[in-house]
Amino acid sequence: MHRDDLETDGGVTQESIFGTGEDERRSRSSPKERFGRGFDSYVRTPFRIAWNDWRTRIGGIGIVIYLLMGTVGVVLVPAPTLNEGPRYLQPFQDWTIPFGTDNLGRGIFKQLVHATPAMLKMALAGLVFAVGVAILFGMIAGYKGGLIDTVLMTITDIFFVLPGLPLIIVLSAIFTPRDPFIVGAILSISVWPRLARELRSQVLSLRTEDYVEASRSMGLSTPTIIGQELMPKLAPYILIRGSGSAVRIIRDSVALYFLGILPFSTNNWGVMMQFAYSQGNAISTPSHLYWLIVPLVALAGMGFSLILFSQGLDRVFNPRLRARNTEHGSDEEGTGVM
Amino acid sequence: MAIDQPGTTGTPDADEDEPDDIVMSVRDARVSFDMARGQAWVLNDVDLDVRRNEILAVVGESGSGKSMFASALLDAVEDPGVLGGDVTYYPDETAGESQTIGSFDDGLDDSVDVLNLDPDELQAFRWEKVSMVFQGAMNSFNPTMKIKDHFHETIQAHNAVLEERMDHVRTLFEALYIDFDRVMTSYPHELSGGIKQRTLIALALVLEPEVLVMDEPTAALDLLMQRSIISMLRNLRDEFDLTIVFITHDLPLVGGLADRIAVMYAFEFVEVGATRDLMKNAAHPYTRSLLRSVPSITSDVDEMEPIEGARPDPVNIPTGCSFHPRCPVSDDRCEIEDPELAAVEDDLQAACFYTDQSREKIDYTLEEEHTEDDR
Amino acid sequence: MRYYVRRIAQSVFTLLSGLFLTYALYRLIPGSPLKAIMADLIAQQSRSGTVDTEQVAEMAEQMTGINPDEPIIVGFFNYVSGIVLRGDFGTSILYQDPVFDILFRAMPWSIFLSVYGIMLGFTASILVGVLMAWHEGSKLDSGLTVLVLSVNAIPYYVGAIVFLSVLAFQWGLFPTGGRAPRAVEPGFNLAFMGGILYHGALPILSTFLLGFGAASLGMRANTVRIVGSDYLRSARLRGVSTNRILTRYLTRNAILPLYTGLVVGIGALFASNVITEQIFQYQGAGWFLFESATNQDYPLVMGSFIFFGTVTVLGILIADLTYGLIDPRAESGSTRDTF
Repeated sequence: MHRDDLETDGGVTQESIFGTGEDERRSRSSPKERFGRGFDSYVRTPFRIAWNDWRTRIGGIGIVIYLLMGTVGVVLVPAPTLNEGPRYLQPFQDWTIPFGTDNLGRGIFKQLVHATPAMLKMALAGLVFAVGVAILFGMIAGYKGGLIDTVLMTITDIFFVLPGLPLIIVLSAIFTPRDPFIVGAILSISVWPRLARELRSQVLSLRTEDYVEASRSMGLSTPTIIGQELMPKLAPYILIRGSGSAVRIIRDSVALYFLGILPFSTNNWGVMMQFAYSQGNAISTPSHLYWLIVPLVALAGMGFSLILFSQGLDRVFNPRLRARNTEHGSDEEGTGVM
Repeated sequence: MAIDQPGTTGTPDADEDEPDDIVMSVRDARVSFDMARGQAWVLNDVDLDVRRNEILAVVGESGSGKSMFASALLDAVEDPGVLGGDVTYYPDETAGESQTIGSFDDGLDDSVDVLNLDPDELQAFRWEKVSMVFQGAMNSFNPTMKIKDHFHETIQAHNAVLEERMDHVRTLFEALYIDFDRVMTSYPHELSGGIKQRTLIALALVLEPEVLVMDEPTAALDLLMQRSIISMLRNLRDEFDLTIVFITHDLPLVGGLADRIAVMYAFEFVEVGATRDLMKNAAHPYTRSLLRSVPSITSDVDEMEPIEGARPDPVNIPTGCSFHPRCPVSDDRCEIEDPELAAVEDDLQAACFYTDQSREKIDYTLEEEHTEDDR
Repeated sequence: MRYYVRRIAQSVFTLLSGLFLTYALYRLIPGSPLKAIMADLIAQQSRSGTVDTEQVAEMAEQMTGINPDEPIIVGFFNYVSGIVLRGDFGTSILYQDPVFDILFRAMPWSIFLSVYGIMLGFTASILVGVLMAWHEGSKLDSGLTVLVLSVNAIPYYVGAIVFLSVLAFQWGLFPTGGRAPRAVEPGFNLAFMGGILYHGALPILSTFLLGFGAASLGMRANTVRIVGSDYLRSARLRGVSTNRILTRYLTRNAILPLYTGLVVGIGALFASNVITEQIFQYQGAGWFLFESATNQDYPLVMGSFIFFGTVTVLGILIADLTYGLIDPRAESGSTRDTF
């Protein structure tokens, strides 16, 4: 049989979606075909599967809403101005000012929308730093082992041991960061050590697999192996844990702003809460409570969406769960139990 | 409706004239479960009798329904499968005084409708009358519990006398060549596969049941270990007055062990009969093809004769005789009519219209080892 | 044995390194407390007459315990030896009391809040997880899942704020702050004890919420996996009682993967006390950390830091060393990965 006679199986196997595709035979096909298949397996199919799960659907919609608020919303919704309404107007009274006003008559809804970009920036910075450093430390340490492992893990442990919240409080008191990106980066300090440890565990169990050994004996360099072989396997795990970290960082930031530890810079939900607390006495004055609650709900909503979404993602990445529930999958997988 | 005709029992010492002593009988047993694609039948209205004190081998490929059959004997088919039909247990009338160890009371009845027992009765029935050894001894023990705790909790759950039972366990361990003191105080992960498998057998026999169902007990073990367990089983049967139902995919393996063999295909029994008769001259084309496909050390790789075609899908079982798409002697009748088990010889039944043709057309030879009677 | 010694030594080393980092940070940063105090003192002195910079420097040094001419490493060494040899953690600038005394009095209160809150939270969380798995697929399962997800989604301080606002301020069911009733004589009398519980109720409730979601979903997943396992099927067929299956088979085995995370988490959760104590104005160790950090009370900050750091390290250490006790398959720890 001539090698050119070999064909790929054409369909999208479970392995090919987030595996390394080692089950498929490589053959010649046009770039256009390959793109079509790639698009199918990396974008369309996961999207369809994700949509089918109520968790990813609702969570995903939530995330999109927040993203829109922070980007398009800022353009569409005008910035809050002083005295655009009576002071301490209750929410849901006037539909042009849906969430009421604060002590200076500024619309709370508008504040909420305009505070979102800062939150998004913090989340992004925190996510990128936490995941980035964790990958760097965790995966390299896990893969390389030996002295590098010990050194990297010792550094990780030092940061792990430092009590997260107190450390950040101390750091914030010292450095008084204002830029949301920097705040996100600092907050990631409390999160990345655990992530690094977890990634290291995962890598430790993966590196004994045959295909890694094969790659090594073929002489592939470490970055290549980590990038091509390990990353795809771990991508789901990273995504899911990463969104968990983002949620934690946002929450911690709101807490710190609320307590006044982080200095006021651009408006964000935590700062709104801080004002509600200090200037509106929201906790002790029931009629002012809404000022405190609205940003709180926004925060909870964002966290909820992220968590729900990542939970649903678990299903996307777990082929056996999918197969049992899909109607279009092959019969092999459907029988499962037998 | 095929019912076993009276004939000789399996044990060599049985009288020729004695009627069959049946310990369990299965009628119209069916297991189904709902899948997104449709309803799947994984046991298709099967009938079978299990004779007292025999070693009955149930042979079939993976996915042929044999594990379902095994579970049915204890009414232990797991969700989402649904078991229907009749499973009847006949207590030993010749036993004299009540044999009950534990809570199950079978004193007055001469038969027990297993599938309609209430939960407490069923709980007592299982393990006291019929017990089971699963596939995969590796995972049948609680990893955080010592072996002796497994025994103790079983004994206590059935309200039996601890000391008395543990003495019996000692005897069992001796018969199975297990070191009592060492194994009892160990955790499962500290023991090798062979020891675990034998301990599982002992655990299944702790309450002295009548029937022991073994589902592929040797699948995960090496060849030597397999052989030694097989030979132990015959001794166990003799020493402890057992009936053994042995589920396997390995037909040659049980050739030397079983008294009778029941062959399953596509969730039904296609041939049932005395081992010697069946192995020497099987009637059903599937059995004959199976025997033909057994690889031997002496023959060439190119000479291997696998069975053509793919195994049936539980949602879409072929019409008529379920083997007809792959059968070398099938014809149009086989596509429409589904043959029932019918007697071909004294102690051999097959579900086929063309047993003569199948015997003519499908040729196989047995290795010397299998026809050797090492009793 | 050697493994234990090594692990403990490792923990001490990590703790010290962390401390050193913080110490160094404080010394290096521009807005250092030293300068702040000096500026203060200079302002003070210039009002009443001449400014003696040397005296100011000396006083500042005394108050903060920092000697600017001393290299950082030596300073750190002195600091640590002060603690180890004399139990001297320095003196708080704000309160003019020895740090040790302040923290020593505050610690029990923090421990009180954390222990009850976390213990209750974890226990409830585990029970709920097993319950959900046992009734998998039922309405109870779905309902509880929604509940757990909701609780998880809400940051714990939100709970604290809402409780404080609604239960304390609006409905007056609980006190609005403080550790103990002010009007009652402190001591082991009933009124005082009751008052402590009363004041601690809401903070403990908040911490409970914090710990609640932690284990549930993980327990559920692990338990579901065990429910499908062979040894569980074997136990059921052997007639083992449902009670025993729930405890000895399900819970006992499902907890194993979570154990390390939970114990380590206790240490981490302690730290979130800082915020809870602030919200309720509960003067525990966390409250002091907060106050000292925002007021540049450097010795007290370091002291509080040591407290929290030690708790975290202890948590990790205990988790690591005791895992072998609950899982007979674990080797005594030398080759096992800690997390």
